[in-house]
Amino acid sequence: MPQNFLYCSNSGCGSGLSGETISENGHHWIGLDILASMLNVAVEREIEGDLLLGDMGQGLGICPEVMDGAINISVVQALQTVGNSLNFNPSKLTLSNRLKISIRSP
Amino acid sequence: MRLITHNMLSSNIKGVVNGFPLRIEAEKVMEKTMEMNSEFLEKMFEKVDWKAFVDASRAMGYTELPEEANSSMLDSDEFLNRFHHALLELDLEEGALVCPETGRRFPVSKGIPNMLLHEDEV
Repeated sequence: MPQNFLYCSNSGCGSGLSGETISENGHHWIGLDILASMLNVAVEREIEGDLLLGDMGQGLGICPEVMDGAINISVVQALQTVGNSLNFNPSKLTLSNRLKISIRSP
Repeated sequence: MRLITHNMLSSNIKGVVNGFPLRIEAEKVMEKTMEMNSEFLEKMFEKVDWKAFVDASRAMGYTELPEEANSSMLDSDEFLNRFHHALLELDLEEGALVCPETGRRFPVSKGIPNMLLHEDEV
């Protein structure tokens, strides 16, 4: 991750493992996951990022152009198997567009 | 949830035109210590919606921020300390975030806002 990246979104952050790497490198992050059980593990582990319980398929709810980067580990697979999104339709998935909107242009 | 996150978060409900900023109902606020990073604060200052930030700080019980701010204030250690504290060290543990247009409440529990939408809100 380039050094000037300071603020990242971490979709599908789960228990905060990837988020911890972000923090260890001196960056800040917002984590989003649909599984409350995983987020509770992250809370118990006292991770440094902020956590949101949310469904990727419903959109991020993050204002445009504020994030410096995005990390999404196993998010698309999770959308298909775990997400609450009803009538999931890949052709309507605009995850990458939503992430682009959230990320500041260089 | 810290105010750095609140300042980037908006209501995602279908039909909502201006879902920012979410109103804060604070039931329990925690204070956590975090090492200051001036470079990061300067960067965030350019992005932060200041009015939303001041209002949110007050809702969290912190009243030390000026109504208006400009970048020259970043030269002041006192201002940096207050900005840092409000942005990164105040944590909403219990309460709710309220959509400014619909009044819909997103509960916050154990510091985690529940932003899941109902079926008719997607």
